[in-house]
Amino acid sequence: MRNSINRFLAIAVSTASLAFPFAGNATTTSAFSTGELIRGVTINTVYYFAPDGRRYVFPNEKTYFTWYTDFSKVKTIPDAQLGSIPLGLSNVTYRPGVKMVKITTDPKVYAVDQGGMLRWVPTQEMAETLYGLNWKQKIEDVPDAFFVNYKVGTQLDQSSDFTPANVMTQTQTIALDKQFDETMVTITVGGVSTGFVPVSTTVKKGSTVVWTNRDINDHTVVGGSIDSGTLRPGQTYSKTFTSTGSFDYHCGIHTGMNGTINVVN
Amino acid sequence: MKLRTLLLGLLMMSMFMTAPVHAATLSPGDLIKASGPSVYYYAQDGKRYVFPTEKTYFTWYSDFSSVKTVTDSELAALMIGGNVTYRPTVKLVKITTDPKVYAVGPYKQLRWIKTEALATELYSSAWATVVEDIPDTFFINYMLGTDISVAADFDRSSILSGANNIQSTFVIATPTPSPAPIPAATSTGGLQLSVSKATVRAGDTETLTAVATSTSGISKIDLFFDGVLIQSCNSSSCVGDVIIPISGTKSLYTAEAKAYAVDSTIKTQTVLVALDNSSSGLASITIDRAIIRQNQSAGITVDADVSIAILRTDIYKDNVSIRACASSIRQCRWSEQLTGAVGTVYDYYGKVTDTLGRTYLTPHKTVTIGSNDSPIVTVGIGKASIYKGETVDVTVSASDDDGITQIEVLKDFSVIKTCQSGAPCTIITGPWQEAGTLVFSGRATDALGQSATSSNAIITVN
Repeated sequence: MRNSINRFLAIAVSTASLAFPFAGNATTTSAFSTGELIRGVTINTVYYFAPDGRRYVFPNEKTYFTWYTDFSKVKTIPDAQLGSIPLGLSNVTYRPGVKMVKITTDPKVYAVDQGGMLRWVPTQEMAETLYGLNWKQKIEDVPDAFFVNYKVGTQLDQSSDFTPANVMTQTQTIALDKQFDETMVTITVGGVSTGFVPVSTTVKKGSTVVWTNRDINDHTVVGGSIDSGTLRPGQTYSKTFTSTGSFDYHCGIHTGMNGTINVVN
Repeated sequence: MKLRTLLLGLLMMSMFMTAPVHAATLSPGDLIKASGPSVYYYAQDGKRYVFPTEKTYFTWYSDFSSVKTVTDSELAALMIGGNVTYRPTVKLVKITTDPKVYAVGPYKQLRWIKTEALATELYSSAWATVVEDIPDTFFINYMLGTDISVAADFDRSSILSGANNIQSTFVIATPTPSPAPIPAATSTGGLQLSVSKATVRAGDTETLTAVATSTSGISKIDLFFDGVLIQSCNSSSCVGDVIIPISGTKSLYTAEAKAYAVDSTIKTQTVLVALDNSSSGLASITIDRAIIRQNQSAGITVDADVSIAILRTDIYKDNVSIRACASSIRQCRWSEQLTGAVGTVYDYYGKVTDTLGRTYLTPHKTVTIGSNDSPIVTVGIGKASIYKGETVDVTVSASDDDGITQIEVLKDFSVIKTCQSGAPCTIITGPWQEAGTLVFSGRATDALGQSATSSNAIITVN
């Protein structure tokens, strides 16, 4: 828990050089899967690795703690691999139901619904019904610059429109909150030095794995029944795994690039 | 907290404290602040835009001298519209965890500069000194454009000259039509001219009425419409009719009365008559996609209302007719491959001519050639008509060459569900307890950040 602010603020470029040692296990790994938390070696920003093969940013510590209680599950991966994973197309938003939010320059208080949707809580009575007598302690300020991560939806007309506990149950993970297609798993094909990212990953039986070539050179994905043919920069290849087991593959052009898919029930 | 300090916050704004101006006096392009430290850009859409970092601010402004102060409640009344991005070309940017260096192009586009040699060619050997780190969290405020492979892909000076203000970085909105001029009701004393309709449609009959007085007596009144004499009366009052021309390019006509007094004084009075050719929704135009790639097809459809007795329908591209449909065809379609360079904007509108020769113009719509086309979005509803207490499924599907990253379901234009994948996004709505109509639509965003909205699906609750 220490250094948490520093770890989080992706913004804090200038403080990154303060280089606090990572509180958890410092060993690096190239094996990680969809839904896990990752960070690099040098910079201590934590990301959520999503099924679309992208890393999603937590805008601040408060957002992180609506989803996780500590940093024990964060995996440290090599910097080059982290760099080859593209950033998410949106940022992580508050876990629905946990808190209410507002911005400093507008008195409106909002409940957070699935997908970072803000729903105005128009009266104190409704806030009290939804969040109890201590509802004021459940309100957090979202900095103006992060307000764009949210969308303003319809306001709550009656307290039955929104049940914090139900909404929380329905969105256990960030992938569920963002409604990712969890039967799809994306692997980045990086350069020769980066290799496949993640190198080793675990997917559920029936999942479709998509390899995306984000390098500037051609690559292939070959091994067993896997054969992509030549993937030009930007091209993708996908394969659905219907049986359990461990499947090794490599790049037919660059022999040093190897990877493994573990398929489990 | 670190974050706040970056909201331009702790800069010494107090020295610019002046008496608050009222929000009503704000004009688009103003910089505003209230009692707090943050400065916002007030845009044409009436919303305020946040500067996410100080560095962003200083790519646009050199100081805070033009910031206007409004009251806290006035500021609160303005919605946040989004974040301001770097001024195009001024800096090169990157994120801390990825070595790729990007140039900033128009419309918030980041374009990867593929080699150091290219960076040197574009930004001199000192290019590394203009590179700034964008915090990861603000990367989503930009769109990824195409890579820069040769220096000619990125013309710095012309891009900069097109980016004079923050508004220019926003996606171009359709310009609002200027309001019709209000007919002037001036009077020159002894002569009164009135018209039966201040706003006319082609083919209408307009009646001009003039009454003149003079101590010496009136010998003659002449009535003119659009400079043409339509009636001449040898009395102190005069009435004349005119049929509004059905062909012509004018949007404004002048009605004029000239009164000749016995003592040889002449008085003139004019009234302006506005021509309404907006067709008031009787003719409409639909384009398949607002943004397409080079060599893709643009599809245009012009629909005419059932009340029009159609003689013909024309579709115009950049004011040139490119398609004519014969009578009785209520829906006129046209599709063509557009080959213009990226950034080219084509303007389309339709004109329906009725058997009387009256014309009904559709609003103008544009098709832009982009480096990325907008997704195709459709909304599907379980039932078009339901009874009170029933629920209904709404499914939004989308497709795009780059893949869909986000699909949203909207009710009455508010988002009710978001799905971060290309799979169709379904929501069960209701139960609906009140009779009326429900309007659903969908919106999809592709992998390059381009979004598009579907047409509306309407469900009736009985």
